[in-house]
Amino acid sequence: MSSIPAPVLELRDLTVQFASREGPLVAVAGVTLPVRPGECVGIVGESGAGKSQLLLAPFRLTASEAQVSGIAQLAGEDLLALDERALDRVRGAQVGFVFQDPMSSLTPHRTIGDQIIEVLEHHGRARGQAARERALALLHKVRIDEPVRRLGQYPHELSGGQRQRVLIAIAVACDPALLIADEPTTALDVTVQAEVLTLLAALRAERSLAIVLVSHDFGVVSRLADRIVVMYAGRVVEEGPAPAVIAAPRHPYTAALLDCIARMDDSPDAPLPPIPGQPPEPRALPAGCAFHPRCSRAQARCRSESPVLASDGQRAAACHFPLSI
Amino acid sequence: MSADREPPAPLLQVRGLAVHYRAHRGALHDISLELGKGGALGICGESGSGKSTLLRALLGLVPISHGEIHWYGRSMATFGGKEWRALRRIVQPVFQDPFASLDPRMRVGEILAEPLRVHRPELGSAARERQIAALLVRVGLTATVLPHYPHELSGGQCQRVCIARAMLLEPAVLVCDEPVSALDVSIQAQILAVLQTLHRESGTALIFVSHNLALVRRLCSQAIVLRGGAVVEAGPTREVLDNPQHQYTRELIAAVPVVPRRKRQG
Repeated sequence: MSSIPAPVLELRDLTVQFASREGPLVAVAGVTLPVRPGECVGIVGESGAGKSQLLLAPFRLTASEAQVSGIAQLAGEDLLALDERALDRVRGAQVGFVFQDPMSSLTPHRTIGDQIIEVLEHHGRARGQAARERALALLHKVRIDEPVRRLGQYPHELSGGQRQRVLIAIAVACDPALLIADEPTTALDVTVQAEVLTLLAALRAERSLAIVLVSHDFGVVSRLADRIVVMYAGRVVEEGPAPAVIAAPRHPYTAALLDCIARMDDSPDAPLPPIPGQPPEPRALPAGCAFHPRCSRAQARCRSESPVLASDGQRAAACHFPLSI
Repeated sequence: MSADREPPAPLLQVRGLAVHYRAHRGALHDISLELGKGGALGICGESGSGKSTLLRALLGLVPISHGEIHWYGRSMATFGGKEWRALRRIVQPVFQDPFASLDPRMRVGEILAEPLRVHRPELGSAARERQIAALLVRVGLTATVLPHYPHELSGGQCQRVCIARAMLLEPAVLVCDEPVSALDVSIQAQILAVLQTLHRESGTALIFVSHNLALVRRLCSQAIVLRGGAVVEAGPTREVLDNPQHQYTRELIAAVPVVPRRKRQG
């Protein structure tokens, strides 16, 4: 039996908190997440669940006041021990990032070509004419139309979908082992969204690129992810192989999220069951299970005792009364 | 005019509407549609399909190049000041970003009182407060939101405030432009339920613009699919979306990510 390859990204008991007048605000509370080479992990949850903080704080891409503790390793290197200079060599080289709004991720007054070349030169991958050729090859790779013309264009001359392809080209320019994509298709039209997801799947297959896909949309995640991690109020409440989690969720929160998606084959007369209430504020987390005020299965124990994430090796759920297996 | 001689005019009738801009994007070509009283019309399309231009044309916010828009059988081209004021009351918009649609310096109580002060000056403050309180209940809020500023509320709460404000003047139609796409999925279902209830119980017609076809399918009995400023397909929603005839409609439906239904186990 072959051994399991070492993770590209290893987060262990990661906590992200912010100081505030009312005491520390915990955005991420002790999350463990290994991402293996070539694997796609989808992180799902509502706004404020801590999804982005979990993935961005170890790379110091969140507010500077964030206090990060626990273990965060990229290819065995301790990210939390790196100074800003060392981290700058990691970001964009060993790990690429794609964000929701491609317009604000690009510099408006510089050409697409210059922005790709800058990354290659910054990380010492190529210079001058060689960098220009690499940039053109990257634009081909992300299947943008008219790549030669795009090199000389400015971000505002491109459509949203084309800009997102440029961002992906920049993110994979230095051949990273890991791509972190935070809501990469949320601002795009559905047909463009489908194309971008196809592109990410192709890049992943071609380069055994590991992808962490952060999204509030189960539909997007289910197209790409092997494994799904569901977060609620800064914690992982469920994780497991994507098809298994979607077909038979164990945590009532996962089930509720799946049930309130409108589908094209719905009976229009059956109302969508909404999840009552809203996610808790980090400064006012309920006692016990943070989901209990919105949970239809909650009992006395849920109101007092915080459930641990119990794993059977394949799947895990943090619930006192999980849905039957 | 008596009802037995002529059928009553529909709420909204658009015939051969064209809007031409100097920049091509966003223009409309030969759009025709109809919305009956209490009906629900879904408008599907992607960026640049002309959805926003169409909504603006219906509200009289862009000049029309060709064609006609009739509200209650009267052409907008003949509107005088009285008709425009009436239109501002009977057609109420709900936008995508609830925070951007509320004045950040006003408390919710002031935001909701303002339209009544302007359009129903005859109401005293007690009557105003009664109406506001009744509407808050219908959109699933309580009077506890009244002293708050928009930024102190969640996105879902803000969108409920926007819907309450739109409903205060008992409009004939709510024009909803992507009203849930900025909200979390769990909150989308809540807002959808509010809109559905108001539509059914008050008979308020809906124009619902969304890229989310499954939401259009749930909420609207009629649908049109826009592409490049033209209608590519129109008809009863179940026919348009369940049995699409046009290649573009099929592509649009195929692009929607499918989440398999979970196995029910209680």
